[in-house]
Amino acid sequence: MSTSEAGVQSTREGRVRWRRFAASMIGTGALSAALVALTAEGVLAVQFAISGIPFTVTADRLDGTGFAQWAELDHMAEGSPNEGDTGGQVVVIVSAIDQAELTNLCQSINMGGINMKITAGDTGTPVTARTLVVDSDDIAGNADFKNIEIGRDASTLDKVPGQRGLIGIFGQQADEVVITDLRQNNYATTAAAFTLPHLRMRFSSDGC
Amino acid sequence: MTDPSADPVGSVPAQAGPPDRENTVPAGHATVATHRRPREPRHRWRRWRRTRPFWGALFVILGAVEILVSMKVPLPIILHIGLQGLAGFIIPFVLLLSGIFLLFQPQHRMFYSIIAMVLALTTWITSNLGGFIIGMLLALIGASLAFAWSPRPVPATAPTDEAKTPELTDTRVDEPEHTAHRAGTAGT
Repeated sequence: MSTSEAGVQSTREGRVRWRRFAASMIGTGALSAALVALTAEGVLAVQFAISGIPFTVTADRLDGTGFAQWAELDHMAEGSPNEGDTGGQVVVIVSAIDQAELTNLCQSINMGGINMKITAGDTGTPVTARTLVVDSDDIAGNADFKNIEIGRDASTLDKVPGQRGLIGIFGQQADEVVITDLRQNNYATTAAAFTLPHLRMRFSSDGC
Repeated sequence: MTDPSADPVGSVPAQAGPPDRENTVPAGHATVATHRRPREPRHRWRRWRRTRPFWGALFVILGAVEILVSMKVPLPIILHIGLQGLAGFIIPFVLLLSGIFLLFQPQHRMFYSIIAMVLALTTWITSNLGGFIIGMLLALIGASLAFAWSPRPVPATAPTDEAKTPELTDTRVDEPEHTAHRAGTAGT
């Protein structure tokens, strides 16, 4: 090499060896396919944390053990395109479920015109979720509670470990909950461990 | 991009290798004797890009950013989930760092690109199915590009026309790269 670039190895120009790239893509592609397959088998649990994007969740049936619900003010990121006329704040219902089983789950996330649609749990094995916390502004369905306490202060809720609201806010909780024909319009969801048997992800123009 | 008049300044002897499929600029002009450092900003930028796995690193960074954007959730909620919830942030963040290090420490690209591959796969579990698969795929493509990138071999003597022979393909081209890489790693 000429004197000006001699010595420092990293100053040499380079290129991509496409054969090596292809081998690497095949390797990582196979591993990703294995991950997707294990998730779709319901063997591998995945973790969700979505916020700020409105999305819809529907399920034929939700069986929850340990249920708590309270109201909260949800703030959007400043200048969020989803702000609309809400001034960036929405009153949301926070539902927390310690252990949940959902049959025939459909989740669609609106990503600016196109919907990312996820379906799972429609072949006999339900979707399971641990520490599922959902912020929704609209929940519909037929609910059936066991040992419900309505009007308990949100800060004293204890059915879902670690999940409670602020002091002085209306809250309710129950040992068990069964919701059929569930439909939620959510702003945020977190779940520590979500198994999604028979997972399918696709982009579609219509939601759930 | 394909500005042949720029080449006498921008080209270096190592460019005399097989025709480059990644960059569209013709790789000729190896016989030009002047190997001055490029002075114009545009040439310097181009040179900076070509001396590192630029596109690979860029894809890794884009993928990591996409995953982080899909994860924007108030921290208190994440902390409720616990350590596992925090991992959903940490893993795409370290993925972002590995993309940045691919740019600034290209001599360690093997290490960083393999780290990026492993982390990109991990985001499927920890971070919204890898940012709903998009970020994960971007990062995997980027990591593979960076993994497959290598500097052209140093010619044993001053570049001559026989170095242009395009039939001396990958196997031969790769060998000096490995030794050079090892030497480079040991030196740092």
